[in-house]
Amino acid sequence: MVTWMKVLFSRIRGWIGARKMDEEFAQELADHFELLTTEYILRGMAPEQARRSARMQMGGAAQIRDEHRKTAGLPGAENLIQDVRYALRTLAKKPAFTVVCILTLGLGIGANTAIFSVVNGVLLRPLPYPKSNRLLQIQENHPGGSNANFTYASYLNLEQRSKSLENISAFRPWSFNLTGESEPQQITGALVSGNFFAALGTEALLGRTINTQDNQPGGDNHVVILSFALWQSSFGLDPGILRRVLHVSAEEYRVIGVMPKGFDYPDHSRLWCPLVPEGGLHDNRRAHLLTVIADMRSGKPIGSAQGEMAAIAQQIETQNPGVDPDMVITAVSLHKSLVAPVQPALLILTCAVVLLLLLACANVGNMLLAQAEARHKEFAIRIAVGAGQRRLLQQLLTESLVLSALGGALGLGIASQSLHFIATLHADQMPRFGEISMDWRVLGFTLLVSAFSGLLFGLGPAIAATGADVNISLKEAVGSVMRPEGSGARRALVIAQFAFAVILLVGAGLVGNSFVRLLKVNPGFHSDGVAAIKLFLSPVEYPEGDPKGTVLLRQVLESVRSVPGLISVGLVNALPITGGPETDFVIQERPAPPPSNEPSAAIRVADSEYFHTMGIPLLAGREFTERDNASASRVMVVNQTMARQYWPHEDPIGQRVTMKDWGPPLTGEIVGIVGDVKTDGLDTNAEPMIYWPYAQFPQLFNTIVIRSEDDPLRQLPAVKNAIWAVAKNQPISEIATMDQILADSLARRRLYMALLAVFSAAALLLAAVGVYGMLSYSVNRRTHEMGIRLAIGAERGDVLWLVLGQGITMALAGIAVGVAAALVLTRLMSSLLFGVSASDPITFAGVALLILLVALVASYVPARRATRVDPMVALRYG
Amino acid sequence: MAAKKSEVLQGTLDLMVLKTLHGLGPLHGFGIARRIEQLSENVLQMNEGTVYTSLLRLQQRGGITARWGVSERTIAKQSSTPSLSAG
Repeated sequence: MVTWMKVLFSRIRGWIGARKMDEEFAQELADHFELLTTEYILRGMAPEQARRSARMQMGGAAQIRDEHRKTAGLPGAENLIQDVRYALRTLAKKPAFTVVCILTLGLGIGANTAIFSVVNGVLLRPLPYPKSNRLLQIQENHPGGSNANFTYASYLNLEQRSKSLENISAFRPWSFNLTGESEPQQITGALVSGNFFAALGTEALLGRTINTQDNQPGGDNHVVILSFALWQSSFGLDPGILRRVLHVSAEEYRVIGVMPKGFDYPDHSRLWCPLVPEGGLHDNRRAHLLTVIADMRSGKPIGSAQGEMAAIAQQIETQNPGVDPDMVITAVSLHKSLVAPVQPALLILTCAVVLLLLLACANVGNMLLAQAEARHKEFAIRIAVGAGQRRLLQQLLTESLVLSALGGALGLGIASQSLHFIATLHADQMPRFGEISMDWRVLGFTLLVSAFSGLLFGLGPAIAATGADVNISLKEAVGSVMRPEGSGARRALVIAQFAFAVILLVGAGLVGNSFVRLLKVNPGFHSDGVAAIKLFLSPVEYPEGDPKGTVLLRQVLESVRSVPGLISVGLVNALPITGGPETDFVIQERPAPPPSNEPSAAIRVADSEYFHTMGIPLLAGREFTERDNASASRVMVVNQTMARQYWPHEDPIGQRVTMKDWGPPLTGEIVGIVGDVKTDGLDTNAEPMIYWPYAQFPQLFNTIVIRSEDDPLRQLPAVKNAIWAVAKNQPISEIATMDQILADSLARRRLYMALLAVFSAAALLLAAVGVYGMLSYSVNRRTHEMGIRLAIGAERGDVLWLVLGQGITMALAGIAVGVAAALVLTRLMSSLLFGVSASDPITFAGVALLILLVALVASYVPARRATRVDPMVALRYG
Repeated sequence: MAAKKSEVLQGTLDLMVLKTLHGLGPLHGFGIARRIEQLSENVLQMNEGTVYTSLLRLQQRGGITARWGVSERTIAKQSSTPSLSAG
């Protein structure tokens, strides 16, 4: 056994049996003393002198026993327990101080723990797939700046040519109509290539995953994999599920596997079917439909694929000139690309909570400094009777660590509660938010942060307290010496608190300001009373080119229009705000632009009532009518942005435009111009948009919009029955009011704003408590001085201003520092802002004013108390 | 002053104790103190009580073992011969 371990075990044994050992040792010393005395008497000393010499020869019994005890046991542990006990006793004697400290620290540590839990779950923890560290997403980048999906042909090229990647797989998010199991359901899922599951590395819980055999056109490709959630909700965890055949989108699919619990890639998928390259898909170079993921071959560093991707993009372009000019292929870690939308905001929130914790530490540090000043006499006496400076320091630090540990415990509670709160704020709008939990890393983080903040706020006051001059402290206790007023350190801490509060408030103010501006943005439609119901027509029942789908939709619309209480009913493929398909187009009778510069527009299909139902204004020409059917000549309506951008000086009506990306080119004549709607969210600019009549460009994904006099959701049962009356097996899902869709599109911003608002409110409160505490304490200590001032003729107003002035000076200094820092820091948050500059003067001025006001109120209470000092009492007892 | 006494380094005392036990076999604390006093011919001034701390340190490191034994006149702690392989 290693020596130090032997020593340690022996010490632990000694520590446990300390009392008995001590008694035995005392006995032994006594015996030794007796023997030595006898020895000296034998050497001829008188008994009295012999005892004296023996005592001198042995040394002080108390010291020897103490030394022995320290060597035998664990003096560190003993001291620690003693210190913790003493700290708890000291804190219990000052309940108000203790409670304020613990609350302050709990707030700071809790906010940090909560945000760290989110950062941990979203940014730090690897994706929950076995191959997560090698998993890449491959993207096509186009000169326009947008990241596009792959076409099947490019995907095949990539798969055949890449040497640094393996399991290159493609998927397309898809909706499935599941019928024959109670109510027809629409289920989100994906069509995946044969190596999709191999790329992720996740095995099936039951049965097997899809493999490359399942993707053969004409082969046995009617197989389906269920998510655990779907297996549970729709099949009651039926153990015989692998023998079942399901009606998926009107065809029979054999269940071959069930995925383990929690697996839902991509994007909350519940069902996976093979992606079969049928219908000309395999050589399609225009339809960018596929998301591509792949594994880095083992042994190769991630990122080394970049050069190869560039070369493959070059080859594809050379072999297919003019199709996707200047296309670039990039490989990024799947994790990074998933969390990219929330990463900047999470970093900003992290900065915010760190500031809040610093503020909390400054506050508690300040209170401890005040405590240390008040306890000077105690420390002086302890040093005078022999306490070592180190021992005293250790004891004071123990006190602050006890405080921060209690604060940390409270913080854990606060954090777990706030995570519930965050979850209620439409957390499903954020990537990976379902994976957030408080794991061992979060606990470790809380422990570290607590210890760190305990040292941060405890070290300064402890050093200040133990370094004090014993003489001055002892004299001061008698009252003859005044210490210089309001130590510099404490003023600096209060100023720092104001500065932190300014930064946080400015950040929250800017985000709040952006939010208000977003709410005022005109989405281009009237959302009140409008609800949307998604209908996905199965491609098997309603194949492309077959007018059956159009006929069904017309019947559905007619049936829904007969529901009483509805003002109007319309049809569109993709709603505003939530994005949708785009196309490249050319304008007829104009010189063709170079292929790399082909304009693009969002593409929608609508019926005659859609614009009216949504409240989108018709600006020129006409809307669609029922006569714009498949046999009539092709017509289109464009939005205002498109009209302005491409026909700034002429009338767009009557112009002919050809849409290129969706099947064979389709040419139509512009018959009307409508107002813009926001396509991808309230914070985006309107982009050019082309509407086709639904009968002339039929779509599988359709949305019925209804406008009702009152709450549109109340009409839903009747609307559903009206749809089922003409389409018996049609699943109806994803029903939402337009108000809800607008609110969801702001969910992330609302979350960021709510969190920043809470943090900055806490910061303001702490800063106010800080200045209040400092001034109250200072007024208490200066009672004597105030008494003298009043006695020799100072007005009460003078005394009031004396104290108020102190508070305001510190606030102004804090504002100056805070504004300067905020001007630098808020530039980092420009991605969260909308319509306000990062140095918005109104926000800055408002925050400065607010801080000043709060400082004034917080200083007024102690200032007021200073004026009430009775000179007689103050002089007599001060 | 006491300063002179404390000039005897801890390690020196431990060595002297160990050497005494090696030479004379099992001894109790009083015997070790007498032996050291004798060997140093009263030149070395030390607090005899520290012998016990030294014994405890050696014991913790496994250099010696201890047992309770009866000496001529009273019960005292006896220290056995050091096992030189240990420690």
